[in-house]
Formats: sequence, structure tokens, C-alpha cells
Amino acid sequence: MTTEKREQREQREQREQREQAEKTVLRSPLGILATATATHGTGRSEPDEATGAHADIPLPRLPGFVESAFSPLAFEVSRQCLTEQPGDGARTAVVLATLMGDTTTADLASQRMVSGRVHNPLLFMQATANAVLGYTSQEFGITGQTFSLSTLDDPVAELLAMADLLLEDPELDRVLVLGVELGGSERLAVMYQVLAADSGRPVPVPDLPETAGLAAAVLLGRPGGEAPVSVRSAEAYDADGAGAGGHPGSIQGLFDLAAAHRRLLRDGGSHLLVTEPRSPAFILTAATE
Amino acid sequence: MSGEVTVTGFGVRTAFGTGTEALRRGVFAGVPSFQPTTRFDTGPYRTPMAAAAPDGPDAVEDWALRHALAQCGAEALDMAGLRPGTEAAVLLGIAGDHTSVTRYWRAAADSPSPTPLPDSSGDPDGPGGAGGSYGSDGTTGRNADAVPAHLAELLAGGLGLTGPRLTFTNACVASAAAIIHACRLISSGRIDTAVCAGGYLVEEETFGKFDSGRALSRDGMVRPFSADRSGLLLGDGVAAVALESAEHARRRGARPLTTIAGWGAATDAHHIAQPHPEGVGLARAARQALRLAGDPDGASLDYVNAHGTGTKYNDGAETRGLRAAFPERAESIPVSSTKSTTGHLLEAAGVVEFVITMLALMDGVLPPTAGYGRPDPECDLDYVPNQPRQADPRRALTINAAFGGANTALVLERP
Repeated sequence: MTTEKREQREQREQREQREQAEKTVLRSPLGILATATATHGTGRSEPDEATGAHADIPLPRLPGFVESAFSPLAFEVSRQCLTEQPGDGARTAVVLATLMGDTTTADLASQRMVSGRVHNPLLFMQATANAVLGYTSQEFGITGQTFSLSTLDDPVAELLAMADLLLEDPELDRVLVLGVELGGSERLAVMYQVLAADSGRPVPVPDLPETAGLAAAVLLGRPGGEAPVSVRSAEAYDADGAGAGGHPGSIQGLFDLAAAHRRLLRDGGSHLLVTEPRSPAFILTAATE
Repeated sequence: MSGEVTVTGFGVRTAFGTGTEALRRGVFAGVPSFQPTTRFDTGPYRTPMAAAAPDGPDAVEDWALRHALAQCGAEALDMAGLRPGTEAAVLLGIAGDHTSVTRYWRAAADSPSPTPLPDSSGDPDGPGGAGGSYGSDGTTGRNADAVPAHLAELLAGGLGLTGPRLTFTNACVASAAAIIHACRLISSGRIDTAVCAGGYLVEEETFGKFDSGRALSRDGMVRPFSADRSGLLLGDGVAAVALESAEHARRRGARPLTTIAGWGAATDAHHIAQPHPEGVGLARAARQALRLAGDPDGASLDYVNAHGTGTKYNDGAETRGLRAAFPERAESIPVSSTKSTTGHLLEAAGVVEFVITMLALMDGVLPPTAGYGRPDPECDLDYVPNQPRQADPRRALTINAAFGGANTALVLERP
């Protein structure tokens, strides 16, 4: 075995030890104030009653945002949550998770550049995920903290942990977390293959058309009257039935969380949310239980 | 706050070179590092200028972002006396390595064959690896370096650190946000130790975007807060800092270089690309940090390392924001922008300027605002113009701002 292979194996083992050690991520329960999901270009023309998934939507028009589904979808799910549960923008934080960011814009700008065409100033502006957070904060008067993240780990766990930490800040009572994922070019497929090689695990390539996009958002606070469904860490669970897990950065877990939230609001009860075999799990509970 | 946060090590690299002596010779002497860059063809753009280190024969290896991060991370760990195997979080502020995107599309444009995918050997740099025919320069395995989180994994793996990893991508506050997140994790007792890093190396993708936005300086200099300022210039910057709880450092016998006394973050809710004209979010972030530091009026502040991009919009807004943050003290606190010598380091600005601020506290020297020409009535504070200043600062504030109206503030204190 080469030194490089041995180092890769050691890194994998360290990573697995670390993931095991982090099974419990929430110190305190969170309250779910609202959830929203949106898809575009996936080919789903009707809602899926079995999963609760909505039909594709046309992209909302955002001034200054062109060519890419990233920012319109991020804004749309944020808008739904913040409209359903209006609150004090000064006491609201926003955290966006996206593994690769707006790859549509990045690829378009790069292809223009290498072909000798002039850069489009609009692509300059929207190239960072921060731009749409700025637009959202402007529309809803959010002056709390805004962050954007890239994580190979399960974004649900990262986002809930981030919300738990931020809500310990006495200046905040709500955290809007959201995830965005785009279909993409063959460059994305190559990147996933390299990630697979580095992780030593099979990494499925997302099956999304190039112009497709997914977004999901969850508005969180501490449990209480406006949040009849709460979420807390599950300290022990049977991971055998959790399936193989998705590709890095998959936001399917956020869709699962949103679907469970809708079902618990309707039916009551509780739900074990396991998004990936090695990721932390969470228990969602309706207050009426 | 349940646990004090200290800094016990750092590594830094800018266009001046590697390490603190390079910073002292450049940033602390007020010597700008701008020159025409040869890293790519600047012919299509309005200026060739950047604070980019000259490329040597080993440039591809030497200036790959992954290598520069590894070098700075190793230096930070070494200075802190932390060893591989340490349970430490790795928190990165970075947008990914854009050169891999350029390389991919340039190769795709040049090659008549479709993009080959990697074989099953799992060795992306090996024969038949990812990118295949696009990889004659040995960089094909770096296609995934465009993924910000991948760089955090590489850094953590290379340093042998076993804690959680997270990557912040929020533009020019990204690495400051990483440091703030580490402070929260440590002060709340969730972790003991973190390595926070950030990096940006001048490349054509971003250079072209800033050129298209007409944000680059027209006269080859960055002149923050000066009436004749005409824009920013980009610069190379990579840095890593080792943070740990004071108790953890004490148990190890590690010497704290600086304490992080306060931190804050806030959003302007004003515009997707421009700062609030009154610096509202910046003032709010600064006040949060000062409250946490037990000094809501800024009475103990001796220096401010400003965001100071040298653009028309930023510098006046930042001045008004500083006045709003500590109205009684603003005129008596020296404020400087070290982007006047380093250039704008984008995602790395927060952590490199954190290191510069820390050095100011350690050395008792305030770095100047270089290139300062005529006073601007809009910018009416003490900007330490052109010459370094001897001082005895005990507390300093470093602030950053970004696209989308994000603002961060960190209060550093000499032990």
C-alpha cells in the first residue's frame, strides 16, 4: 500500500471516529416554526402525495439575478417561511448550506471568460451565495447574522447544530436555515468522482437535469406556542435501516424534515429523522402527543 | 461566556512572502505590494495590477490554495505546540479554488474529446484519473478543489486533526465568520481547540468579475479613506490561527498570544452588493463585540483594523458606522486599512487582518493606511496615514464586511 493510500485510509478512519463522537449535536430542543420546499426543472409536474413533494415551480423573478435557479429558489423557500411566520428581523439569523454554491453561474462565467467574451457584471454580483441572502434580508428587514456554509457532512445536522448554537445568543430568537442544490454540468460529475475517490466510499452522482434545482428551508426557534413541532437529538438509534445515504451536500434530509413536519402538524405523534447512516439522528415531536 | 478564547499559534502568507517578518517589512512599513501580475493575461482588463506574489518555476505547486493552506495550518499548529491527532475543529473561510474551474473549461474548450470521468482506481492524479486527458499538468485531481468543503477536509486530513470541519463561504467575511464560530464553540464548552483558516490567491476568474464590476483601482494603488481613492485591488492571502480555551492552553502550558474578548455579526438589510450608507450593520456588529468584551462604549479600544477597501461606497459608510458604534471615542482611536498594502484578500481578509491586528498588539506598532493622499470630508477619522505609528495598544477591533450586507467584528486583547 502506498503512503498516499495509507494516509487516505487513516483519514477515513479518523473521520468515522469523529462522526461517531458527534452523534448528539443539539444541546437543547428546537421548535419548528415553518418549513418550505421548492423544486425547478426536475420534471415533476404533479405533487407526489406519498412523499408530500410539490410539483416544480417556475422561478420567481429576482431583480439582478439571471441565468441560474440558485438564488430564485433560495429566496422562494425563505419567502414562504418568513411570510408564514413573520417576526422581528433584528432577532433573526439566516444560514444557507450549499456544497458547491451556484455552479450554474460559476460555470457560465468561466466559459465566457475562456472563450474571450467580456464578463457580465450581473454574474459578478450573484456569484456569491451572500448576494441572495442580502436580497432576502432587504425584503424582510433581517438585520441579524447571515452565514453561508459548504459542508460535505449531512447539511441537516450542520444546520440544526448551527441554529442551536446561534439561539444561545440572547440577541436572537429565530434562525432560518436553508439548503440549495443544483443539477449541473459534466464538471460537477467530475467533482463528485474526485470526492468519491478521496472519501474511499461510493459517492453517487446526483440525478438532476442540468438546469434543475432544489431548495428547502426551515424556520427554527425554541419550542413554544408558535412551534407545535419540536426537534431534538436522538441519542441512540438503529442505523441499519437508514439506507446508503446520499451524495455529499444532498439536501434530501431537509426535504425529509419538511415532510415529517407537515405530517406531524396534521397527524401528531413523533418521527425519527435519520438522513444518513453515520449522521446524527433527530426526533421530531408534535406538542399534542 | 463560559470560557475565554485565546490564540496560541498562527501562520500567514501574503504577497510579501511567508511569515511575520514579511508582514513587518511590508504591511507594518506601509509598503504596498501591488505590481502588474503575470499570473494570467491581463490584456482584456482595465488594470494589470494586483498584490500577487511573483510566480516562480514551482508556481503550480507552491501557489495552489491547498498547499498554501496546509503550510499556514502547519505553522499555526507548530507555534501552538499542537500535534497531529489533536481533537480540534477545522473551520475554513474560502470560496474554493477557482483555478480548477478555469482549468476545466479551458481544457474543455481546447479538447475535441468529451470529458473523461475517473477510472475505478480511485486515484484522481494517476493514469486515467479524474479529468483524464485534461490532466497533463498533474493538476487533474484538483477538480474538486473548487468545492469549498473539500479544502477543509484536505486541510484537516493533512494536519491530522480529528474534530468537526465546517467551511464558511460568505465572501469577504468568510474567515472572520469562521473565527467567530470557533469562539462560540469554544466559549460554550462544545470544543476546546480549533484551527481557523482562510485563503484567496489572485486568479483570473475573480479578477475578471471585479473588473467587470468596475471595482478595481484605476491608478494601481489602493487608497482607503483618501479623497483620491478609485477602487480596490486583489491580493494573495492565506492564514491560519490556532484557537483554544484559556483553560486548555493553561493545562498544556501553551502561551496565549492574544485573547479574543468579543465578537459580533450583523446584516445591513440594505442592498445585495453595496454597504448601508450609514454603516448600520457594521456598527451593530461592532457594538455586539464590544458588549461581549464588557466595554459597550469602546472606552478600552486602542486601534481599529478597518475593512477599508478603498472604494467610494465602502469607506464613507464604514467611517459613519464607526462613529455610530462608539460616538464618544471614534475620533481618538487610530483606524487603518491594511488592504492599502496587501490588497483585498476576499474570503481570507478576516483571518489575515486578524493576524495583522494581533501583531499590532504584540509589537506595539500600528500599521499605516498606505497610499493616503488628500483628506475626504466623508472620512474624517485618524487613519494612521502612510507611516507606521509606535503605540502601546492593549485592545483592538478588526472589522470586515461583505456582499449581501454581512458584517463581522472581533475584539482582540493583549494578555
